[in-house]
Amino acid sequence: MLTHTIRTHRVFAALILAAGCIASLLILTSSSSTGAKSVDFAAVRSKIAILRTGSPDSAMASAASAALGMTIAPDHTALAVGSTLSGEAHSTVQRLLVAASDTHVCLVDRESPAAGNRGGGGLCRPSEQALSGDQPLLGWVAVGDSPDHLRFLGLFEDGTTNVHLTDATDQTIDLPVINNTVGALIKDSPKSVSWTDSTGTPHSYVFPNNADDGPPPPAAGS
Amino acid sequence: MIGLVGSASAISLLLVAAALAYTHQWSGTAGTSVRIYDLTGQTYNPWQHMRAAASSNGGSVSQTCVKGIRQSGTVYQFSCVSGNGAIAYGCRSDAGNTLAYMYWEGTGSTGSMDGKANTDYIC
Repeated sequence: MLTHTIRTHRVFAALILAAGCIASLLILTSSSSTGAKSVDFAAVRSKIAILRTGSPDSAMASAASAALGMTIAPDHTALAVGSTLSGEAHSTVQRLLVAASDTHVCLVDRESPAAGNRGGGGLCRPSEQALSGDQPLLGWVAVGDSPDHLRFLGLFEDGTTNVHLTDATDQTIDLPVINNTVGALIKDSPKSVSWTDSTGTPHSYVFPNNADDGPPPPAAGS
Repeated sequence: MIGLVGSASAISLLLVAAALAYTHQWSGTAGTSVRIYDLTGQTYNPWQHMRAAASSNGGSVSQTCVKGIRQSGTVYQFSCVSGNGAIAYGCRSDAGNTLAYMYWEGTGSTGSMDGKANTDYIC
């Protein structure tokens, strides 16, 4: 009788211990997957292989963090150095870099440090949305030493080809894809962009009408 | 001695420049394509960096822009980006004294926007 009672208690203890272990595992799994979602860029990494192979660039991290008002850790920067821009219309060379904060994926346009402060910028989107659906990461930023031009930036999924940009004058520009990025000098806001994904499916995106016609600015203040 | 004085002067100038640098942050709610001006202080400023983000109430954002306009009416685009949840930023050193503004385009009755402008070139 006594032996049976001890055995029963041992079985209960074992069951309780096993249940505790399972519960702990479930909690750990749940918390780690939640945490991983915000820092591992799983959705984006599955679409951009280069994000797995980048090297840190602390200078870019510092500049991008200040400009964005969010922290870009050194080990999330310079994930790729992509397309460069140069030519007669522009006196400097830009580098397009893919970077990331804990929550966003960014495309950063930086001039070579020797070029001085003449223009630059970029864009970020939440990592879950950065390349979702039919819209890649697209933006157009200032060109400081060429007031009549803008720099068009784009970040596409792996395997993207045939990127064509149509500008405001209906001219079509062919853009080579380098490390998932494209860059071009354009004279005005872009009209549309088209591309072919890794499966051979064509896509296009028409930019919203840049209807910047709000009310006039108020009178100058002191 | 002259070198020391020169270095001290250079450092002083840098300190003064750093002290003079300033930032405006502004926000607002508006419909699509409606400018939200920075009216938080002195209107026209030597901005060299601007940043903006938008969120639509009941819809989605397709484009977010941040720009500066001179008193003459000349507009200097700092950055425009496409996509919901996107953050736009840009730097330029040729805009002169401008009034910063931002706007968004997309669907939804109104959109909430946050903007920031800085006299430092921090891109």
